[in-house]
Amino acid sequence: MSTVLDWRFAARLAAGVVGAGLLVLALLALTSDNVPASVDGLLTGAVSSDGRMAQWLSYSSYLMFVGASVCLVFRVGMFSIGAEGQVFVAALAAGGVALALGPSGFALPLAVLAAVAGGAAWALLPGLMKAYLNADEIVTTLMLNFVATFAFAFVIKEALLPDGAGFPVSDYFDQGTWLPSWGTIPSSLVFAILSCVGVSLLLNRSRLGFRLRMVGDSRPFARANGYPVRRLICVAFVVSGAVAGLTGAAIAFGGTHRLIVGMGAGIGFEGILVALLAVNRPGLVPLTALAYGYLRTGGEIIQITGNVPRDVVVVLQGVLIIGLAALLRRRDARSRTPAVAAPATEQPGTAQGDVMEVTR
Amino acid sequence: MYLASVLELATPLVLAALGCLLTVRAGVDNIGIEGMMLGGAFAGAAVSTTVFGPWGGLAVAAAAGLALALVLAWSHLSLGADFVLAGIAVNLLAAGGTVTLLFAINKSKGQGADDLASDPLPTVNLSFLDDVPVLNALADQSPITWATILLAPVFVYLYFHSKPGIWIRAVGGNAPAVVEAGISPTRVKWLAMSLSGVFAGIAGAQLSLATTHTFVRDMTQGRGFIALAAVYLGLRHPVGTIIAATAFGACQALSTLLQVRTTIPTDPLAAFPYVVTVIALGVAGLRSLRRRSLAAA
Amino acid sequence: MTRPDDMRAQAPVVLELRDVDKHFGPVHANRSVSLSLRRGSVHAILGENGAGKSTLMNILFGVLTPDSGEIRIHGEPRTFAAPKDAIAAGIGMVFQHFGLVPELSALDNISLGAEQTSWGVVDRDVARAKVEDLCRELQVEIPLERRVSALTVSQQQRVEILKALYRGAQILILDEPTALLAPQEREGLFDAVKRLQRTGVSVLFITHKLDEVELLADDVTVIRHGAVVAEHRVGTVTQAELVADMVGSSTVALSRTERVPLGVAMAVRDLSAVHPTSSSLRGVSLELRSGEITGVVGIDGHGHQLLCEVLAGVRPPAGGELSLFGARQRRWGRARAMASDVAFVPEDRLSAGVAKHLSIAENLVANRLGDPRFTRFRFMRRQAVRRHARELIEQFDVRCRDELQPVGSLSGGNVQKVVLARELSTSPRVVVVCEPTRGLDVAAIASVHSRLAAAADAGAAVVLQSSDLDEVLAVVNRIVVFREGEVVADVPNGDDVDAKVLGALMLGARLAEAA
Repeated sequence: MSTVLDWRFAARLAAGVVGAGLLVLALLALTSDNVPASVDGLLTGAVSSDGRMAQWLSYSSYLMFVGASVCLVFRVGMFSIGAEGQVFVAALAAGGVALALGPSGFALPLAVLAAVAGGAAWALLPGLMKAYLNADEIVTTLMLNFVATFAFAFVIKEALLPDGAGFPVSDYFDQGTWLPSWGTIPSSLVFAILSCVGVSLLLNRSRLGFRLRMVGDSRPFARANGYPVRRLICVAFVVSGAVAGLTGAAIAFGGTHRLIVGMGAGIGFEGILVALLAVNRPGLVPLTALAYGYLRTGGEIIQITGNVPRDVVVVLQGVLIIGLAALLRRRDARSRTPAVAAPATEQPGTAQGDVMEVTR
Repeated sequence: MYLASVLELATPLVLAALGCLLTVRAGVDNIGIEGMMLGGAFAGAAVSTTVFGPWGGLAVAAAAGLALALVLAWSHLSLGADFVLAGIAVNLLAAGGTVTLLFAINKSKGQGADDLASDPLPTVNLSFLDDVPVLNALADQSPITWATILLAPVFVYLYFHSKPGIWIRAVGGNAPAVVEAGISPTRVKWLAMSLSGVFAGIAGAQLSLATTHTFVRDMTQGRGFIALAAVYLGLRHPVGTIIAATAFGACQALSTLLQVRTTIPTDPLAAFPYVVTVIALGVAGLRSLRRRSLAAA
Repeated sequence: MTRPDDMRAQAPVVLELRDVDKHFGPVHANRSVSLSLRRGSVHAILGENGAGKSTLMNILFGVLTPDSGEIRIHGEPRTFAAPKDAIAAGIGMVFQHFGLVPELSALDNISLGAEQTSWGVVDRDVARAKVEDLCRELQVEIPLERRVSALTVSQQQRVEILKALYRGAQILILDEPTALLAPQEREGLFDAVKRLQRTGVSVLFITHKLDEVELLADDVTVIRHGAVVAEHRVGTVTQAELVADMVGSSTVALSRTERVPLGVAMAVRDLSAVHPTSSSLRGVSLELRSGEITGVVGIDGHGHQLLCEVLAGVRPPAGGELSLFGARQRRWGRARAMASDVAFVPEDRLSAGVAKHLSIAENLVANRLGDPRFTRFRFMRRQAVRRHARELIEQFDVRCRDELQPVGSLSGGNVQKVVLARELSTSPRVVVVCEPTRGLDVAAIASVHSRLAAAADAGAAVVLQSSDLDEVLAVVNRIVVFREGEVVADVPNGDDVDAKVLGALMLGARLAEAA
């Protein structure tokens, strides 16, 4: 029985992939003068030169941090979409520290610490509101994303803008804080993979992670086993915020080397996609981040070379999210495998189930 | 003309927020409203320069918003995707799709630019009001603004006194009760989401066919989320929602004014709606907490 | 001249169930249930919690579809795919937890889905006139414009009844209608039902309260374990006979053995606690002795379930003292209780008893994360966890693929084995067990009982809360009866105690009268 279901799942997945591919092809046909070249650019662009490969790998590394962060909260049953804002706050904190310390051996470690603290703090607020006030985390995190975005822009424009800058940026950080690369491999990739492994170990191997997963599965159960449920919810938010904070540091010190208004915008939502592709398993996030980052980089490249908007990939992203969310929910509903899909907030069509008082 | 600009900028927020209110009351936080607005803005601009003209653009804008809303409803209600994820997906589809189509259109015209000029809707010109204080704000508003002002009371009335209005509120309040009354909550949600799409599409048209005369990529700039915030700040009540959305519009107008006249930074003002909403959610949480502890004692 | 009673006895049958059968997986919820309701009569359906009453009502209202069997309305077979079909057939349902929208006014709730409109606007005057007529007929008063959330519980119930009548219901199903009502409110409800009856409305009245059957019903059908066990005309049957029907002659194997209790393990003095849907505990003093199984019983919501939650530490006491082996506990919570070796088998097995998407192995260590056997440096020792699981699976005879199988995919009996394995294998000193056999088959029930007996024999103080009196009588050494949040009897379980006695005590009789 389960093999039949898996087969069906695979067939749906294949159909989805083919469908998404056809859609992208259609969009390319609409915009591109040379469709085969655009397809080629999309599919091989990311490895067509060392520079592009480095771009792919570093972008993927950012996605990994966010993906791991999103996996963590989702697995605890919290629908936080606040990674975006946490990244901004973290980048700002890290950048502020780096700029303040200037050339110093301590600058990078302290700045990374600041990023972690910033991301964690920005996540703690909705965590507390969820745990103690039962405030809908979807709305609070969404709102806080914007607060972070504007705070980021405000601080840069008001406090960090160097004289004569044409657009809102900060000074470059001291070169000592720039993350090194080895050939095409950025060091942020190593840290990102380590973060995914770390989050995976935390969730699957540690005692804390064990408790968090129990809370995610059933809060009454966690309570019946004496777990401090509210505190654990806050911990989940804080840890995921800290990991998201690392993204901010990685972008600032591995990518832009200064703070730019709009840097990393959208990464929080792409992280959700990456986590979803990895069925909320942080161990799989490096793979899905590399795969998605590959396409994303291909999109950047055809924009430059083929005058095709990279936004074709954004459409693909939307289609993938719908398809995956639906597939996972269905698989979960039909077979009784673990709910690795997104945590249930409100399921459609449960009204009937609520009326039933199914006794024995 | 600060007041005029408040009306102009509040219009899309009020429209989108009322659309959002319907879905929120039916139990769905409509994050996709942002994408629906964007889709409407683009479709309106694109069609306005064709033979269908700006009025055709307005109709197609509403249809585009509706189409994206149907994608959301289908993903959530038929495929079972979570509405947050489906909403994010709709936003991505709209953001990516509008830019892709923008490229396609501009390319056929031999342009490479990032924007698309529109043929704007004619304004309702009431020049006799020009010299009347306060009311002169109404002298040169878009038909969408006028429709919003005139139809908002109708909306509020129907929200409380029409079958769909009552059913939508019932679904969010207690879905099993609705089933017991022989109504399908799923169908009511389809309706609420569709209406929100139409509202959002028209709100988008206000941006590209009235406030500005062009479509620019990502031109909604979070207005959909502000609309969602207005619903929560307005305590999920239509009048509260309209007031909150108008207040947020006043914020934006003030922000524009400051940008033009002064060097005072506007980012805190832009963040204001979101901060207020987070605080409002916290206060609401505290209140229900206190009520519960009183009930237990 | 015929008495009205006799007239009703000859009135035409408006609703008939024939051999209705319903399974939920392995559970046989309704076994070939047949009953007929006559026009203008009140027909009580009496049964313990979990006897299958709610399933039957949901089938009648189109919420569930039966596996087999037939529903006939006025003699014609009907199938209900959804509640709206049942409504169309003239059936109205008043659920135990009211199906009203708190944000809407009473009037809007009553007319929901059946609104009259003119020009797209709901014509509330039409509805109001109709509802006011109904109110007059029933002699009830409801502030129709007020939001339901601002109404009292009994007013909400009236609204539910009006909602059904507004749709032209001729057959009204009341599911445990007095569960949330104060005594005076109950009188009001019964008056209203009697007035309805005179207008020709027929009422199916679901209850587990014997006195209500006598007060209100013309006929009574008793259901046990999903099957009809008896039908009576009210007035021709005594309460004692009804109790005997309800709880049955023992179908549960007797596993009770004489035990000599050791010292007092846990004691509460003057304990009080509150709960949203249960009687508050008031001044409860009780001693639980090691090596003995204590049964706590009562009518649903009379505080015995709440006591178990307090003892286990999942609900805080509001006042009084709780001591464990003589030591007074000041900050009693689940974590403290677990540290003091208090095991807990919650009533809601699938949500509070297990994490159903996680593996058996993980579920089996959820309560012993402090044990160095399973954690080292704050990390789980996975091999040890799995080995532990394999041992317990073997020992408790859990039927599964392997220890990594998600608990939610096991059968009910095996889920409960997992719960018991987890809770009892820590050699607890106190074991609090709620409804441990609800929904289980005979073999699984026997296995649960032997586990509880073994725990008591090993010296634990076991507290068993069950609505199945047969079970309590078969297993426990001592029985504590609760009524309205207070202990009304605390008796050793001997040959002089039977279901009738317990039933009478639960209903408020004094011990001397009951025995």
